[in-house]
Amino acid sequence: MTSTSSSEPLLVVEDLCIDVTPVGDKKPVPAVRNVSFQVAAGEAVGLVGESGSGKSLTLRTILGLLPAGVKATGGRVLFEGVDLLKAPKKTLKNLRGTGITMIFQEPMTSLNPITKVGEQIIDAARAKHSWSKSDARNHALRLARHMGVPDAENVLSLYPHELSGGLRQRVMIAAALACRPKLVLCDEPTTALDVTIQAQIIRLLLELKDELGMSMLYVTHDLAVVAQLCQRLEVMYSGSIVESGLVSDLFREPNHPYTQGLVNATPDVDAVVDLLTGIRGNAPTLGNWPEGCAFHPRCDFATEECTSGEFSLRDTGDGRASACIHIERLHESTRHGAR
Amino acid sequence: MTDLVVGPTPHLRRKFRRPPTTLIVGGSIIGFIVLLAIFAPLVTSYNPTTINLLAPLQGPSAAHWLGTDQLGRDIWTRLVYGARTDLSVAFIAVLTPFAVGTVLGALAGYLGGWLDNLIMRIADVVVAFPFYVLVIVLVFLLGPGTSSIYIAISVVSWISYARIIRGSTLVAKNQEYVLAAQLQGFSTLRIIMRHILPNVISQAIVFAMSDIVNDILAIVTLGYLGLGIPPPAPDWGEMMASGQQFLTTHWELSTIPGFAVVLTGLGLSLFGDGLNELLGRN
Amino acid sequence: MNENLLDLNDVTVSFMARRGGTKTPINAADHVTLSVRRGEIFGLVGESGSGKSTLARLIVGLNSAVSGTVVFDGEVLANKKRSRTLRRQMQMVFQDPYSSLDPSMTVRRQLTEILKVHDAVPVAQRKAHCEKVFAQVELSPSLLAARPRQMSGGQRQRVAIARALLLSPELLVADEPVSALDVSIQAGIIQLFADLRSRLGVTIFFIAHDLAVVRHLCDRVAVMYMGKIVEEGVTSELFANPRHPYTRALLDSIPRLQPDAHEEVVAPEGEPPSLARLPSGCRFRSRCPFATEKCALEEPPLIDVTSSATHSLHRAACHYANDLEAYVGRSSSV
Repeated sequence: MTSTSSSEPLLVVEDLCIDVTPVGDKKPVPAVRNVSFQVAAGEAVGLVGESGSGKSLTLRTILGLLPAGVKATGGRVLFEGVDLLKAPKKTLKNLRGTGITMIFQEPMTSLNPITKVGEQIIDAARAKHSWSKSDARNHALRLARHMGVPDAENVLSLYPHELSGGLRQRVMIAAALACRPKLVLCDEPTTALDVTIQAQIIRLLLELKDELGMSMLYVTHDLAVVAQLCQRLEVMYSGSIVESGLVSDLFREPNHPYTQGLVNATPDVDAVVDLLTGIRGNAPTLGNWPEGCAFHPRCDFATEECTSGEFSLRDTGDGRASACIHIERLHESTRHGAR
Repeated sequence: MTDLVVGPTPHLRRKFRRPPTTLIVGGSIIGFIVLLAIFAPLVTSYNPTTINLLAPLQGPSAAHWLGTDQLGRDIWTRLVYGARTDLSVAFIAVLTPFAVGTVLGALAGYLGGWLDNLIMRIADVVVAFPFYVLVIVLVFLLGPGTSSIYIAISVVSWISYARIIRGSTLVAKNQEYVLAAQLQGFSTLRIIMRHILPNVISQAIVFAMSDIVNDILAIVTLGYLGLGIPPPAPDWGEMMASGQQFLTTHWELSTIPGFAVVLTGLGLSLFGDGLNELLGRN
Repeated sequence: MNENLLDLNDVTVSFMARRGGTKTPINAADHVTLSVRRGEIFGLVGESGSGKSTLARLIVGLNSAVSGTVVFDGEVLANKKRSRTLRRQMQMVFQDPYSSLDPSMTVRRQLTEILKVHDAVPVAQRKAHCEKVFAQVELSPSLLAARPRQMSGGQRQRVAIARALLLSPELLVADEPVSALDVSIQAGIIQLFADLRSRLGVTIFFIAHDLAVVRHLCDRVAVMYMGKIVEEGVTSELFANPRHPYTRALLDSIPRLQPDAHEEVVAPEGEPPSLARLPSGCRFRSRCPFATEKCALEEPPLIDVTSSATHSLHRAACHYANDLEAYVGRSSSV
């Protein structure tokens, strides 16, 4: 698949800032600050964080899907060079479907409950191409089969509530990919699924990604899922990216105590390591971010310097970046088996 | 890693958030009217019932801020004392249906079964009749008087509370904290009173605000029809009725009390909206 | 004193499920037999529809069994009717920390209410008792004055655990207590359960959908599928040597945190059948790579597959449990 300029990243997010105005308040509170990352053509990038990290908001800003009271207040979101934050509604509308599309977590609420699922795929396809009804129907059937929907002919005539979670998700993916988008935004699409079904959907997404050459920006809290799907990864905490780099590098040797904490806390079904440790304390709530490095109250390596100042991503070479100033101390302790 | 989990977290420090605008505006309007009603003797200089046939239908002046009515009574005084009458009757009239409806609704929702069916079918029957028709008929049958008004309104209004509370109870019933209480062997009474009602009652309170408006309108309507609070107590409805004959010459006799009703209704509605929003924040 | 604190003997729990316009009975738990030993942490794992929550609720008396018995400390329990004493001995921790605490009451009030109703502790000592239990779950006593909405998910879950420990129960039934928590908080709670068992000797019946969590915490594990137990054994043995194809499929499906994990995404085929229309014979056969005709004709019983090397009781409900080739799985790279 040729791209016009394969060296240009498909999506560039630069210094994105998002503010949230809680109900009843007048003062907006920052939810995402100075987030920057890129997605190249054909690449899968993971955006990982826990609750309150701002990862979902970041994702939704790209397509302008922010709820009331939430606004992007700074930075740029460049898709093929066009700033989506400043683009007119018409441009965004044209982009959806063929340029950028999104897959959500809960298919029950993102599929129309009163329309048959086949119709929804057909509608998605016909939104961008002027096909006849029968052509569109065939395309929908083909798509559904391709997504592994068994007995597609029958399933397409059902309503969303009549399908299982896994099937609903396949239908949603079919509808989202009906127009072969260049970039797929995924908002935790497998979190609500059973693990065996999750594995099927992950495999499906991988196959589709290879086949269609599309890029993926995958938001999740599950590190292991990211390991399966993505090449690169951005770790978010309290509205900022704290570490970024190749998945293989990050998990082998994290360059940020939070990433290390997440890795240590992820249960290991192969029980390579017996000790499961969490991160002490609690994630700060919106508007209560600590001064300096947002993670410092929970960090075992924090010093006086961590309590004030700006902590942005610094390049650490090898395509990696981290916001931590004590990477050496982190590696020291890991080397000494303190894990 | 056995250090005590750090607390209190920042959440515990209560941040002052400005109350909703509707609450402030509505509250001010109602507060103002209520204060006037309470301090009626201080803000008026006449007796609301004293007739003075020497000075009927006078326009606004320094002596009579809003003029006098056909019997020479000071309109402003009657307006303020009318507020006293109508508001107090309305507030009291709302209490019984609130209490009865809430309890019945909670029982119906929590226990279900035949009790639920019984209560809801009775409700269906009552609600088949239009509110005003039923109230007027009941007052007529019971004979005009303030207690008849209380009884009539109670018989008809408890249903809305019952329905609202029943709905919320059905939802609350399935929350895990209720299951936990059941598992602890708490009695049904304790669960309903201590765990369900406190969590659902806010809906009934908000509804009560708009119900007071309904009741004021009902009382005023009854007054207009001559079935209201017995004279000589001043009542907005009665004022509007007796001023009708002067609509073309002295429209203010009917319009001013009408305006008072609208303003009170507006204040209560806004206040109810604000309360709803405030309670919803939690 | 019995060695087994809890026995489920051939219990079946049935519900009426609505499908389209008709109501059909489904067995959410179907002829389940299992035992939990005193002082152990027993894990029950399954996906949606497996019946694990149903069993949890049966144990604490929120459900009733249409057949079979639940035996606690040697005493057969009546369906749903539980004495105060029994309720004290058996407590539950729920999944959702956001709905398992009463939002309108302070934590202190919720805890003291329990002490009051059970009259378990004299009034003068109630405050101290609450503080003691709070210390057991590693919460600062200052949080006693808080309301649930002022606390994080992890803190709320600790409060829920404290509530369950108030009356010094013998059995804690934990229904997916960490599923709704962030992973960094989850680890602390898992560790807390382990500590509580060591310090207090409480027996824990731990339900999860995540095999990985269970591996870190539980002594023995049972795997459920569509209402039936398909495999049961000591944790290390079950994970090293899973003898039921569903257990293997579950293990294979779990994503690993390894660098090049995307090179080997293994996923079982097909969807679970509906509980209202189960296939004949073995329930897993529609998705099983080893299924034969026999699997369609006969429902496999739980057979003993205890390995002679370990001698730890291990059972699996598969006709071919003893004949399947050794599980290679995905841990081979380690």
